[in-house]
Amino acid sequence: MPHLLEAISLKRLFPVKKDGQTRQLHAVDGIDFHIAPGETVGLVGESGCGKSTLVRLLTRTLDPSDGQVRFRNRDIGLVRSRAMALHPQRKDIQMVFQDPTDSLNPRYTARQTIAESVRLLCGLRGAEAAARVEEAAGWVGLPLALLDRYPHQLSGGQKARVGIARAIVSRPALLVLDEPTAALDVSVQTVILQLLERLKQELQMSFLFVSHDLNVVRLLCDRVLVMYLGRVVEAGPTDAVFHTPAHPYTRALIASLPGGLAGGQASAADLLVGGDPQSPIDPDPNRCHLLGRCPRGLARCGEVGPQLEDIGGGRQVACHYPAVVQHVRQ
Amino acid sequence: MNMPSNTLLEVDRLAVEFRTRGGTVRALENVSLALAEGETVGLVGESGSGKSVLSFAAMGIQDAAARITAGAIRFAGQDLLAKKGAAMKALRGREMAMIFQNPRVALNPIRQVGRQIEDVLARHTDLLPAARRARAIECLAEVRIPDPERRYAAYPFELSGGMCQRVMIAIALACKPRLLIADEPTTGLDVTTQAAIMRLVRELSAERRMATLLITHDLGMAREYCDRIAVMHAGHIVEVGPTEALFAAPRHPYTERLIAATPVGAASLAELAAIDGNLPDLRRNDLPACRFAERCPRRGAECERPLALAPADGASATHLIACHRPLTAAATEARHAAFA
Repeated sequence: MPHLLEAISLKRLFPVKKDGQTRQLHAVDGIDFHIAPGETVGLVGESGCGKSTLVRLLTRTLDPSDGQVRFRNRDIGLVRSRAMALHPQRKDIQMVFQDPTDSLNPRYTARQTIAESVRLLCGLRGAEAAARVEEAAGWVGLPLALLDRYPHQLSGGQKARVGIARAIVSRPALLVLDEPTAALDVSVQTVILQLLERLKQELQMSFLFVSHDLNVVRLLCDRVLVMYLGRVVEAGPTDAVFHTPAHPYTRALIASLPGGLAGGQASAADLLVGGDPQSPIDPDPNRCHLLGRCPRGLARCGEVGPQLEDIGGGRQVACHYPAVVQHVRQ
Repeated sequence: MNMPSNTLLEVDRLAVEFRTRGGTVRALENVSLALAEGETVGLVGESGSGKSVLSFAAMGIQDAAARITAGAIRFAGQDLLAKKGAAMKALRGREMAMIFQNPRVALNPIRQVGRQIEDVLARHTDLLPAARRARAIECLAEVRIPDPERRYAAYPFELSGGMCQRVMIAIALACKPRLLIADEPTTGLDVTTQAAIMRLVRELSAERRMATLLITHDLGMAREYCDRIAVMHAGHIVEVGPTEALFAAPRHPYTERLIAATPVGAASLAELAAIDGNLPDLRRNDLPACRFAERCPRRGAECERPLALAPADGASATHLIACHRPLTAAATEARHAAFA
């Protein structure tokens, strides 16, 4: 199956001044991955690991320093982010933002917010546009009576629905969701997650789901990518990665889940040692980024930077000493 | 209620109202909760249920619009509501301390973090400046901040979110308080940092017999770190009990719905069940005795009658609920066994 979206050696560096010299902060440091049509891919990692930069590169609101973003086999990384707004492919990649309150214009009603997308992305006006707005409201289960309300007159769950309706009204092939439920209560989160799952089926979209709630990723995603300091350290089918995490960082993430999956079997040997990650400024390419926090950390980890390698079962891991994975499931 | 002799904080039938232009918000009503020394109690519920109002009232830092209209708050036998400003200031920071939700907002952005710890020490101890500095560095080390001498001089913007959170915990713990109120101490932090911070709080409460009130809407975290859990809904405590009993056999329909909506431990998305409806508008004059009644699948005629926390049938005396039509222990246990 051809990939819908593919990142090839994608990089983004930001110059920073330190002690009078300009150095490079490696926010996204050579990432390769792909999303198949209809697939839901979860992206997890701690804050500051480059998740948001990667999302901005893929949604083309930020230009890559190096590498390619291929969408339907065309390198859209070459389109300048400023020109992307007018690019015909803009409507095919849409985004749902983290905070439903901050990401809505407070002076637009729900109808105006959704209609703006219809006008700019689909080029529709008048009755045709109005019909599209109401159709999108129907998809997300937003009562038509609420369409003429302003964000402050809507509840958190209703605002989340408006944000989703705005993103899917152009019927994108890929929907990027950046922590779409982080600001919501559990009871509302459930409704929104089930709504997303249904929409994915009905509209046949692919999702890139960014979250640091591993429990949500586990339930919603087919595959998961684990990022650490600008790189993908582990990728694979969600069930397999959660049951037999191979990379020490993934193991630590899962062992740290309160009352969750590990539930009691979390062993101290899985937890990270030390406090903060290494600096992302000019990291040594010949050294594993996790070294210093890794419970294993052997001599070779300080000499050769591990690359993402296939370990079978559709899984990849970037570690010299991954945990042994048995392919008994599936 | 009979309290064990080592009760540290006792909130007794507390009612808090806010007068607003839109009417009086009855934010807390008849809320009773006690914390013993060395105990960690979780306070869970949806946003707007009154968790923060309760903790702010206990600390005596409630909003100017808030009025305590009934009830009492006692700390180590002293009546906190009778204390004037200066007397409360002497307690806050020394005997009782609070960790706030957002460390970047709660810290002073233009003061070195070490200095912010020294401020607390200057207010509450007789230490001389040099000793204060040494103690501040010690505090930073206690919360496992690497290289504390250097971090002493850092400003909040130079530290990561997890580090700022640790600084705030260091400030709260500087005077070795007997009570710590932690309001969503790990929201926005990654699971690895979250686990490190919660383990630290747990160690400290074990070492010093510190009582902790952990406010969270993460049921997984409450389950992992709390001895007891109190569930709040729309300004009422609807259920309180030992953590394991409450998760194994929730008796209040709201607690049961809340657990069913949590992705922790669920096998599939379809298995999660949302809670119908929203919190009632607390400005209404006709609020029902049970504020959950309008959302409750088990509602009946008796739900109109006045309600108070009472021991659940067939449960231990420490497992209390406020419900006329509770779930039976057998029914919920069977359901949860199916999940396990």
